[in-house]
Amino acid sequence: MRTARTAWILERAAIRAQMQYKANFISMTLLGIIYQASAFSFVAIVMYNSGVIGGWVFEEICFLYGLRLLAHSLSILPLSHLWTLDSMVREAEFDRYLLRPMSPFLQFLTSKFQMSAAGDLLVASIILGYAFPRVDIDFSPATVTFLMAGVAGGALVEASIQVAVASLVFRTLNTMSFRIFVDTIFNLTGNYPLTIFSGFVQSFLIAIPISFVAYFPAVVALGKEGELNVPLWVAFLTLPIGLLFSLCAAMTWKSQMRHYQSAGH
Amino acid sequence: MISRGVYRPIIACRVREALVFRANSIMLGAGALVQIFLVNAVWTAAHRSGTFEQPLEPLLIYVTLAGLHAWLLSGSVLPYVQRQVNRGAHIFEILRPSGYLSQIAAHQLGLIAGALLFIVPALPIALLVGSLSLPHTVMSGLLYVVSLTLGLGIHILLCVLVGLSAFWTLQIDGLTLLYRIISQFFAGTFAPLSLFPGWLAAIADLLPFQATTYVPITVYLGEVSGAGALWAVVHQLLWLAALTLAAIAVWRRAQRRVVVQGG
Repeated sequence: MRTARTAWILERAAIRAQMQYKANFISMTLLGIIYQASAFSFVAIVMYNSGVIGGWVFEEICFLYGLRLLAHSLSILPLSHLWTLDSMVREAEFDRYLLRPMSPFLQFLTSKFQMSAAGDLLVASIILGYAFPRVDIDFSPATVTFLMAGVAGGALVEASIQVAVASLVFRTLNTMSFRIFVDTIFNLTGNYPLTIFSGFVQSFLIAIPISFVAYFPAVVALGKEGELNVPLWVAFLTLPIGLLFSLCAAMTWKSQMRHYQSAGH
Repeated sequence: MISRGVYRPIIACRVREALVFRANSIMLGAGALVQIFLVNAVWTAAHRSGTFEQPLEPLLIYVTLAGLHAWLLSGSVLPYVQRQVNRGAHIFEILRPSGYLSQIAAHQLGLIAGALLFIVPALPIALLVGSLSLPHTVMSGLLYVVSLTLGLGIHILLCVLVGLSAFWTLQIDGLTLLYRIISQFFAGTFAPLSLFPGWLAAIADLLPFQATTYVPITVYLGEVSGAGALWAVVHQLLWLAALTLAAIAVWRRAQRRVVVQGG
């Protein structure tokens, strides 16, 4: 309990530190918006020329895309400085975390707060805001709870995978290209209905488990269970899988941290 | 002004760098191939289920080639420029007898060459995950090489111009990312400019970014041929000339604004 309180105080301090540079915050947020807008515009251009993809119309694709982007931005909100772990480990700045009476992961988590996720969050809200009134979903309390659980689970899945990959730095000292590769796969494949891929690729995407982040919750909410190639109950597993992956990521971090060799100062 | 002696060692150094950090180069390639695969899958699905008029096969070849072009241009000299400016080390490059612009251009050319080294052996994989074909005619193939060379020249000059802004702002990280996003989008990497909505295609036409991807590939595929292809190449030459003059003019002013941080 005390750890949680301390972590929250540190996180607030990190946020306050970032807010001192207001111009930087605004420009990074704008950059995030432009980045996400350009990524979304590919989808928009495809739909502009085609109208339907895999049986999904533009509004439904927006719903799926917005859901995935929401989960993604929630996952990077506390973790957007994860890329600094590489240099921190290489240049032995990680030493000081080992000397303090708090989990090194929590210390790293609360050391910085990059506001770039704010732009992603904004774009996700705009896309979802466009999609919500136009899709055929009955937003009952049960559905809304299910979708919120889906987004939370999706955020946990993405965050866990990023943390697990980043923790390889204790052994390899440079995870940048591998992290970008994982990020690319998630960013590109998670926004489309699974049915546009071949069977083998579908199995792969279910296993990694990008399909659980937004696709399965969207399929259930939109009533498209007919296109599922898995039993219906599997599509409800996003939150449990998110929690399971968080546990695995924590274990991976702990086990990899033992390989840390300080380069000294 | 352009010093030939500086190009070979810098380019060789960058190519060696790509080979030494081959895990990084391979990961970049893997990401590019995933992108090609996905873009192919999306357009195929769109064609299958939607109201698509254009034939699918040339479109898939286009996006596969465009993905390879994006891989070719994925290395950027701009983070290097930023690092040099952060440490004040760019003063050494300015003081060398070989021009500063030549050195930056050589770095960018070297990064492109380093990427090419990994692209060529990956072509069979690109064929597997996407669609490739021989040029429409021998003439198309030759014009493609000319057009691509001019496009790369335009890209290098644009990178140099963005890098020169560091002399004024000292921080170009945001501008670097912005340039990458906008140039990739308006180059027609994910969709040929002919599929853009009218107003967007009009904007893209006014910008130089299509020179690296859309123009060379449409020449390759024979979608523009004869007089149209020659005019496209002339258009690229005009942009090349304009950007060269702009780079020289900006550099003249930048030399008066050198700020060396650190010590």
